[in-house]
Amino acid sequence: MLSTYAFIGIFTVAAITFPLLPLIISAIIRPNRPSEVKLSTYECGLEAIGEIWVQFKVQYYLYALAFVIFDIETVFLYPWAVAYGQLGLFALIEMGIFLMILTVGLVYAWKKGALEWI
Amino acid sequence: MTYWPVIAVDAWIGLVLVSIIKVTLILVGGSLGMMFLTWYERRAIAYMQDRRGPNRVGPQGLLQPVSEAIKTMTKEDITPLDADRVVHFLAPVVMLGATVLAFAVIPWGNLFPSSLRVGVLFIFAVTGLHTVGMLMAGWGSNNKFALLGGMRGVAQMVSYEIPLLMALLPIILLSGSLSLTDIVTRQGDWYGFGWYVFSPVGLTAFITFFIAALAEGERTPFDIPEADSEIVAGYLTEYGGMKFAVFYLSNYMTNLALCFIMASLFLGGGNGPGVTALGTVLGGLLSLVYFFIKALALFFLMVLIRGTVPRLRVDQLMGFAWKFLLPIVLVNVFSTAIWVAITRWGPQAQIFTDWFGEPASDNYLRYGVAIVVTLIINLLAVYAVMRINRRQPSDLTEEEIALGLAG
Repeated sequence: MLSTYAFIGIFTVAAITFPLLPLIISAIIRPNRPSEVKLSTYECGLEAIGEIWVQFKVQYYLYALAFVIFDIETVFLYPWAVAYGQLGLFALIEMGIFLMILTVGLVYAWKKGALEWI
Repeated sequence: MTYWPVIAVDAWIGLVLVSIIKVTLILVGGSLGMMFLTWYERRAIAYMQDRRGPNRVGPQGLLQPVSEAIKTMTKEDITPLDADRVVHFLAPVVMLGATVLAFAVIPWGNLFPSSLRVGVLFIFAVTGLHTVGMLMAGWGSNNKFALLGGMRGVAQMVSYEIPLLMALLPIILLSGSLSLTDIVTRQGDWYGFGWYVFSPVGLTAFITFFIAALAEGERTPFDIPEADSEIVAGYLTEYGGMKFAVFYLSNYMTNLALCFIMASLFLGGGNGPGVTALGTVLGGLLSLVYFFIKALALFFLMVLIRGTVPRLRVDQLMGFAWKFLLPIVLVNVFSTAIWVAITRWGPQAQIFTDWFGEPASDNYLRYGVAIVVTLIINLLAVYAVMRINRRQPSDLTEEEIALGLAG
């Protein structure tokens, strides 16, 4: 068990090194001749107009909220799914009720228009 | 007095050495696989579009990815003056790092890099970081197209993550384990054909997972975040040279990982006829062959869809995840629970034993009843969802009526 996590730890270090390595090699061998025009923000050949880091459309955050709710529900479902084989009829009925509550939440969000892209 | 497991120092060194060798093999294999996939996709899509694709560099153009790697390595890298330099630099690192980390538990045929007990959870916990990288790229570039692409990407990833996670629940119900090792070995019965896809619930799970995986891997028809005809290149707009290549690498690594995951969880991994009969070494090699055939067939399906289907609109994309996939996946979880109850439960539910006899792998009555019941539930669910989502004439905009799309 411990050795598994040791492997994961070593893999994490390797996973961070893996993208950095080509970037560093490339930084050494590539040419670097910046100019003002080259470093300007791309906007179809025009000069960038206005602020870019602005308040953003709320619809994105509604999706994010719905995601958080359903993600947590999914996390609850995973342990149930693992233990389901040993639990018996009680688990089946209980999870039916749980999924029903989930569905009610989905229907509510749907009816409220939280899932509409306007 | 100590409660910690004491391991001798030389055992630790051995462990670290073995781990480093394994990590190197996986990373080299993953990179080679990704290089092969880029070539494979370009050749396949070229033939679908009546072209030839890259065929000059090396035999059949196989060295094309190598030449491209050299090209991007030696290309000048530009960070816009307005960009947030740190975030702009870290975005590709986060994205590729997250993708690569998933390979720590993904099996290659019957060879497992590690037998982590919570492998499935680990994969999704780690690949969730992918979304953060996308947001960093969009926000850090300080470019309107990049920000739009990044936000679209995050919304899409987040929406399709739910069906993706829920589509896996049936597999965990069927196998009763979160470890990829267990899930793959449990599909080895019935002469190596006990794959989970061969049941109504498994098939539904596979199809929904495949669609969600297309969205997670940003494949056409779900390549909204980098829709090149709408928002230049989405969150990749301000990236060039090696940073762009790292994004590209991460994209194909994700697709490779998703193909591997689908091949392992639904299509039996390295299981097939003759794998167990041939012993460890030969059987292991054969399992690798089976595994790559399955993974490449899945990738071919992805390429075929790219060559056939046009890109979705953003509202259609979101609606499809929340209003179509999610209800079907929810119903499928429930119908898998019923499938397991009917096929496996003896003492847990005496009533089933009274009706259909003792649970056993040759009790065909139980399997027949389970197939009929779950098939009916799933088909009813698909029908109901399609009915709910049917567009009313009042939903049509004037433009659509003018274009004759009212049908």
